[in-house]
Amino acid sequence: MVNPWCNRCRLAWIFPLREEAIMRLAIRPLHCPWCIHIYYGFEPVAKVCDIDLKGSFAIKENVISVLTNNPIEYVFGVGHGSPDKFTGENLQPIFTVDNVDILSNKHVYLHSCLTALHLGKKAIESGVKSYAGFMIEWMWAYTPSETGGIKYENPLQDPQAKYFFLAQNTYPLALAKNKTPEEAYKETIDAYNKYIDELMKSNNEYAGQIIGLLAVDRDGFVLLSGLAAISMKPPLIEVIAKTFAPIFLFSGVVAWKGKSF
Amino acid sequence: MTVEQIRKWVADLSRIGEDTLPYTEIDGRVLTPRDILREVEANTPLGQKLRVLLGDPPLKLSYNLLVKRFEERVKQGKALPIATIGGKILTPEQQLEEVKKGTRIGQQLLLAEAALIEELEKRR
Repeated sequence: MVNPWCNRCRLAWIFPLREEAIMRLAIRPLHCPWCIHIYYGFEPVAKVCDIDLKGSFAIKENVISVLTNNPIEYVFGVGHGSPDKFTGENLQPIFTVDNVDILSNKHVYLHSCLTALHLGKKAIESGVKSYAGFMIEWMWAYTPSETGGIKYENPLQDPQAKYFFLAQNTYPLALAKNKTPEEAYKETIDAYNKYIDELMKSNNEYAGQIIGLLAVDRDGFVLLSGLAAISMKPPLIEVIAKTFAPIFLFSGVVAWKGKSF
Repeated sequence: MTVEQIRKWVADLSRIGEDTLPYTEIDGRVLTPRDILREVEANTPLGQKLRVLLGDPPLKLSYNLLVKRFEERVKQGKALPIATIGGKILTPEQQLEEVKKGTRIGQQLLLAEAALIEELEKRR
């Protein structure tokens, strides 16, 4: 029963209790030349989040504070990564295999290189509801400036780089529309395929390179779920394994001509 | 594939600049789609063999062919600089170095060439 004269009731009406809401956290550092692209490329994702830890705010202490004091259901991060860690501003580690349990009971999406190999698996073992990330180095092509740098600060305005970010942002944006991780994953793969089709029909002289890179990014994107060890496997892996004898990809390990990494 | 189908295929590839890059290797020869069309139009023994081969995907690719494709892509100016979230920015020439050194990024770039052919083959 709400008492209109009660200050607490009025406040509760004006600012509904956040415990009842689903909160989303965005993490996006900005500290190096190529971070500009991932920072602005992630902006549409940050816009659907309740808390946006950006630039110098994208550090471990802030992330832990937000996760401890708010009912965060979704964690969306972009930044440099490696199999064992996801980093924020100035390459300071935020999530590592040693602290990944702070993500338990959350849906996690890290737009970062290689984190699905170990960090993601460890996260699932620690009780994360779902974990989407990459088994590869996520790469994108961009239009160079006359001096060889990045011509467009915002990759979504770059006619070459936009495909990569539009396709990949599909995943967190679909989750924000209350799609399940599996549905969001499928939408993302479909988005990559849509842009590949678009480029195939284009007159873009760099289309070939972009299509190849898009296909590798698409196929290196995996969804790990607490319900199934790996619910989604990259489709190219099977095709490549069948088609190209020297290439073997399994369990996140790539071996090619005797080299492994 | 008929000659007409191959002409159309090469015209489609030409629109995105892929008609002059190595596509297949047969009898020790590396052939671009344009070379394939030339052989098929001239109805040479190789052209006849190619028509049969192109009618029965998937095409087999070797590691060396992928490297040659990448070299040609850079030489013909059909590569843009790339960045990785791992923290690298690479000009086309630096990408070629990564390929030749066999680094992880270099291997991913070759995988991209393989993936492109896979996508092209799906639509042929």
